[in-house]
Amino acid sequence: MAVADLKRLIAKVEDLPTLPRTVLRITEMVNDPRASARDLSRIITDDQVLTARLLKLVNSSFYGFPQRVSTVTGAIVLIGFDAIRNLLLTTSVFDLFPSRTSRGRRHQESLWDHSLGCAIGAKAIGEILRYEKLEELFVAGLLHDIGKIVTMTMLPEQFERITSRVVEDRLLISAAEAEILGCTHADIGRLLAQRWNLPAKLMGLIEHHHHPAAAGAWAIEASIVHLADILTRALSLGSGGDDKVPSVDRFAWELLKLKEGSLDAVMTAMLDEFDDIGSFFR
Amino acid sequence: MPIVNIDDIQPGMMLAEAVRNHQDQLLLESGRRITEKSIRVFKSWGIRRINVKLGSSLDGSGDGAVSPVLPPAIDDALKERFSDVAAEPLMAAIMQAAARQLAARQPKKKSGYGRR
Repeated sequence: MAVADLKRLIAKVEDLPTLPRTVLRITEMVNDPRASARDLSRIITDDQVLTARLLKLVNSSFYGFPQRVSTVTGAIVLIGFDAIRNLLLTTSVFDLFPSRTSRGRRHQESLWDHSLGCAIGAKAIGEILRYEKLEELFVAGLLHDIGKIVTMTMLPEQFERITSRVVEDRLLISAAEAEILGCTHADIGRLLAQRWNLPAKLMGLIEHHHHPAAAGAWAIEASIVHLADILTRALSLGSGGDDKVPSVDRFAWELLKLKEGSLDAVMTAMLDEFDDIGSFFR
Repeated sequence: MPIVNIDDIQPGMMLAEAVRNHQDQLLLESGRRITEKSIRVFKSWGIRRINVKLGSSLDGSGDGAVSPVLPPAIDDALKERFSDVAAEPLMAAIMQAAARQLAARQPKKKSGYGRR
């Protein structure tokens, strides 16, 4: 990438939107050991949209609680502070990048569906592997391609060239990005995560979802997101920017020790939950 | 070659290995396509797993469909998405699993019985 382009790209990243005030306050509160569920609930209920989204989510098949949860405090007690912070963060992120054209909006909606499919897939794989923090995998799946949103909305010209290369030469989007931007959405995603002070683990998963071996201590989680990304492409849930299914990384597959037979269970969950959980975020 | 559970076998799949009953009688030769009738026969003999040929549906030989249940447009799109990686056994297994999942969600054909 030419130096001037790189500078421009970084300058654009500097212009990135900041997180909504409510989400920032919630993040602070989650880190405050003295904060109670009632304190947190007060902040959330100040925001009607967040309140509605939260209640919709706790009552969706994502959690599958047998009884209806009707209060924010009840939801906080049931799913915990960290889960609330992560989920509200995620729901806000996609609102921050409004698209100006209808074509741009279509791309964004497709990417959103792809991200949602990957999130549900990551959670389903985590369930099979008996991974404890399922909601962490879900959030990593939702945000794994966040770098693409930055290119779409903040570097529209380059994004146009990337999509042309993808269509004309049947390239994977990351190959076209590397050629045109000199970096990929994984690198841009890391810059964004850094700027927003997202947890280091989440940043690592965004950066290494194509090469899980490089994720070090988080290699298992990165492998889960990597596989979920590929299964989402296999089922054609939304679009990650190209219509190809890349190979599963051998390291990731061997690390997860999943049986091929489990793939059906994961994909069933992905298709079953896609519409239900999707309605929470849309 | 994938060993497929009898419940996941679909008409149109090709046998990679002959299917024999417990008395070693031949039920269907290797290389033959499975029909609905052969599935019934396998089940009646208690056959649990069947070795099917990936190439029969993946490499463009035979009728070329990944799943005979999928509408051709969806089947073709699936094959196209996997075109660079279908030779890898794991990716072929993922493609087959995706085909099964998508097929299970296709609207059932109406039988026409009992209708005017």
